[in-house]
Amino acid sequence: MVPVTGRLPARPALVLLTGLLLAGALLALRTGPMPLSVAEVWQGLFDRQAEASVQLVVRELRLPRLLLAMLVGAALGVSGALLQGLFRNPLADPGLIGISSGAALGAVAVIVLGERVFAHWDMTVPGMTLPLTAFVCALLTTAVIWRIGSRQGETHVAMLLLAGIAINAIAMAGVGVMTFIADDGQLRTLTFWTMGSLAQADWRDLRLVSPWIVLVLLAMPLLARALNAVLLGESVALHLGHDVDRLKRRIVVMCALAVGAAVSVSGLIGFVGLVAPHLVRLTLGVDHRTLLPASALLGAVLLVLADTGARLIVAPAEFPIGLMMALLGGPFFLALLMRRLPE
Amino acid sequence: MTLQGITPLLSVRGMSLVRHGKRLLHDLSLQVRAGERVMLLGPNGAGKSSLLRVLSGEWPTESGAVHLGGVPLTSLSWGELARRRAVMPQQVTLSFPMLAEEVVAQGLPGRDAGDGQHPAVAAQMAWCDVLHLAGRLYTSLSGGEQQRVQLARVLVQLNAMSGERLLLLDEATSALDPAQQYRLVAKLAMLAQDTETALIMACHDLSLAAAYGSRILLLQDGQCVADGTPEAVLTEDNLARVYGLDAYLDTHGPLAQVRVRGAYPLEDSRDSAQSAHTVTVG
Repeated sequence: MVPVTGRLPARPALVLLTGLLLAGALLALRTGPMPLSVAEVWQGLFDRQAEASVQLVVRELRLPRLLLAMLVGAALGVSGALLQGLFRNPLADPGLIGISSGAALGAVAVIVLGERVFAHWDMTVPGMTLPLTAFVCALLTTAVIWRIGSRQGETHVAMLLLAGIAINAIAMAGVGVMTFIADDGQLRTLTFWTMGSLAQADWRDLRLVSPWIVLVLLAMPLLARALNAVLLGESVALHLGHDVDRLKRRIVVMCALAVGAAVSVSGLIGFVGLVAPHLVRLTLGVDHRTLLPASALLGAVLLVLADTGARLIVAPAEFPIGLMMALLGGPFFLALLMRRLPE
Repeated sequence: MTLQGITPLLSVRGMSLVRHGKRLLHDLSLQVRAGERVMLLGPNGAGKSSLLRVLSGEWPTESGAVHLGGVPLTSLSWGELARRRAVMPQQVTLSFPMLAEEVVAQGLPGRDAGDGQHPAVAAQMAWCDVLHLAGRLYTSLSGGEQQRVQLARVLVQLNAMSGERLLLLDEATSALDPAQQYRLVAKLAMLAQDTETALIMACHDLSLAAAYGSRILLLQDGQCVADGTPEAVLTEDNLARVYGLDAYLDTHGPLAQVRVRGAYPLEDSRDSAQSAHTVTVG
């Protein structure tokens, strides 16, 4: 009864990941243009008598950015795991069913057409036009793809994927049109947004996205057992007593909320949704009761580390975190796949 | 035989099934009691799998009524259905690396689902002779081993039920070697008698069906051609008409067996049975 595959036990692995996340968080709070010791970070966080500059750097700059990196990473990691389970396809990714590209189109439209079209909106919610529009567009695209993929109350997963690919292409063409008509200044903002960045992170962003992502993270364990059954096929999941159509609806809504929220504040950050669940499956196995929380934790760890790296390598400038993820994560992931291939 | 339910566990009346514009089942009626072992026979495309999908609640029917335990099938939720019937489909494909014991543990109800260390998992894996494969990856197993692992999963689900229950098997032993096949079907037949289980099993092995079925349902083109004991259904006439086989039921040995003398050429069987059916060539 001892598993012959090289899997680690689940509980210690989750504890280890949590430890990694805490260590990464401490590293992120310490590093930057003004390096801080552990004691200074502690004072900055909890001591009201601490030096004002330390308090400002820790509480207003680094802490919101760290929390946002954690939430965005967790949202992307968990969405990847949920969609891969639902589609029974290890290549599924939040970008695949149009969630990210819908958000991108919304954000880019605000950047380019901002002053003309969205001016009155910006008055009511100052500074929030871009993330709100991106969020709403992510939900709208998902809804459209969902409508196309469903017939008479049944949802066809293959249809959902195909519709997602088509809508992706349309949305990216829209982004192309916006890029074409953008002026130089807009082009720069737009490019940075599509490469992903947490540089603008503040408490307001955090207040906007955290409720949705936290909601999804709290609801995620409820789906684990049904997702495990779906791994044996939709029919088998039905035979085992799981309402598969309800599960599909829940997963798509949850991913639209989490990824829409994440993309709206951080721009396009690929790869986390693909690589985090993969790494977890290779080391811990496919049981979603472990896979979902572990993917969330690992996604958060990856993003915190990548963001810290992005702030360091070209300091005082910042490297786009989306590029960072792809440049470092891509080759690492490939190497991992090649090593497993002979089996 | 032994004590069996007075009211049928499963009752189908005048049921028809149309999917994607194609009539798959036509005006089927059927009553099955707990303890019965019904073997579903018929050529490829006769509607065996379609009937099992309807009985499992997976496909809604066009017309007619299907009752399970006196309750209309359509009024039961997926969760309630899973506590009254277990199903083994023809094929289960996995795209992720799951351990055999994890697959079997999916059959456990409620909060236990997926717990590979649960005693019921080991018990049913031993029953199906796959306990030694528990820690292996499902995808690395042979076809016959995979089938036995799936059967163990189905039996885990079945054994967690109380009262009368329905077990639907769609060619559950098609990939097994003959020894495993006869051993497992014999055990399943005993299980059905001992545990208030109605067993409905689609298969292509006529001898296996004759040996262990208490009743045979012969399907052709979505219709029930014959329904009764193996002796009554597996007549030379029926075998010739439905399968185009020159065969007979031999009941002399300890197990009833269908002996095949040969296959009729297509025109011999078809043209004599259905005079309206003509084939033009060229």
